[in-house]
Amino acid sequence: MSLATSTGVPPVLIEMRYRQLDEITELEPGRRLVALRTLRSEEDYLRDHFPRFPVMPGVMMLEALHQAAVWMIRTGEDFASPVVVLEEAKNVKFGDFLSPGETLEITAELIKEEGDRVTVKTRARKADRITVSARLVLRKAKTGHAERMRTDQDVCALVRQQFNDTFGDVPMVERS
Amino acid sequence: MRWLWLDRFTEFQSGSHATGVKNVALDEEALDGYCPAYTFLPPTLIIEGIAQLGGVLVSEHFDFEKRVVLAKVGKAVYHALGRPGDQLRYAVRIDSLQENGAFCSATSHCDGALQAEVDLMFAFLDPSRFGEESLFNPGDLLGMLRLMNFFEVAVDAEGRPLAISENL
Amino acid sequence: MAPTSDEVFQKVQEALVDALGVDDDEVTPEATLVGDLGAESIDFLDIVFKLEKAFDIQIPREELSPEDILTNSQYVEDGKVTAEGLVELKKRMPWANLEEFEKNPRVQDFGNLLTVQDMVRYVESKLAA
Repeated sequence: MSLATSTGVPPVLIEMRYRQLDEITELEPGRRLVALRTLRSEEDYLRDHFPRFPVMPGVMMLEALHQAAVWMIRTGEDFASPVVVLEEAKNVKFGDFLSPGETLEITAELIKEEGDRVTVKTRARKADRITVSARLVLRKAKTGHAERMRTDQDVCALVRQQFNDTFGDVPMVERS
Repeated sequence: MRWLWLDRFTEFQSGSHATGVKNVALDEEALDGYCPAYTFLPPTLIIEGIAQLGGVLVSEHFDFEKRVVLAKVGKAVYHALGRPGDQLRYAVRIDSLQENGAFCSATSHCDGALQAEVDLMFAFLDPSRFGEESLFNPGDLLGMLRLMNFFEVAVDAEGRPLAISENL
Repeated sequence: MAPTSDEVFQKVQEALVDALGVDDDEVTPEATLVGDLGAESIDFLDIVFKLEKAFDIQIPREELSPEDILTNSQYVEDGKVTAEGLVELKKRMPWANLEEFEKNPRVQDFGNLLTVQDMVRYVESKLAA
């Protein structure tokens, strides 16, 4: 019996605690994803970054770009790959800070696909400023676990469920 | 959740290079549900650990007077995931120190194998745009460095134990 | 053996592609760093580092950013560089093509004037020194 079909999958397996996307506002599966992320003043790590100047860490903004790219890819292939692995992040430029109360609009767009490698252009914007931009290369991969462990198929089902549980009904754009 | 992505400094030579370790633990918040049933350390947090190591290296060179922030990641290349139970060993060196910023290059190894390669550019916050205020309260950064074993290993350019800066 | 003009251009092009994340074919000799290639002040630090590494030269900040001239009241009037100021700029940056700038030498426009070709000539002047 696969994990995905058992009753009441414990939420702890599905919720991504390090989630960086609050809401997906536009989705063209496999091609383009637009999402929002608002920085809340009660986010715990702000006390370290920085005690006198609380701002979202640049690397956390980069993670928002990364997650947008991963979901863009996953929805484009109907969650066929158990893992989507970041292989390269290039030209990551941090343009501005994000303060508590401010919202980022994150965009991930497909540039090209070569076999299982996908190149994605990403950026995050607040008002008219780009706070971070990056070119990411991700690879659609398997866990590498032996067939008998059935890890791959279970992970795919759980990821699909996670996406639905987390983002609900997402405004879809017709594939162009 | 704290924002400390390096567990321990293992080496630190002022103005030159530093090494440290990051243990990947299953009970870390960042791993919880990151990939259901097959979790791993978010790859961007490896960049952060390395940036913290490099940021201290650059900042210490200027006696912790400059406000050092990550400005660019020229390139980050990953060869493997960081899985629960892994110990990532980071090594950073300073490539260039300038008036407005600095460049570092770094590697991450796991079990002796190359896990990631990262090139970073730091900028020093411009007083005319961001005022003169420090990012930390007196003692904040000192506390973080103590937690990470910094003073046990830090040496100056001549190999003598590093004194605790007045600016910490 | 000193690199040829072509070799210098190739390496300058590579440095700009790496620093700015633009494509090879966008980096033409006439392209301006700021206007055409989207370079911001944070990128100049990166460009300088890559050029220093590629050519094994030292690039003092004031040679590429003559802020001291552009903010000196002796050389600037009503937001424009005076004739005296232009002389100083030419002395500081003999490799730069200031023709366009001279037509309307507004301080605010200065940052936009540097072209890829200017950078190539700058590097060549450093290599010849």
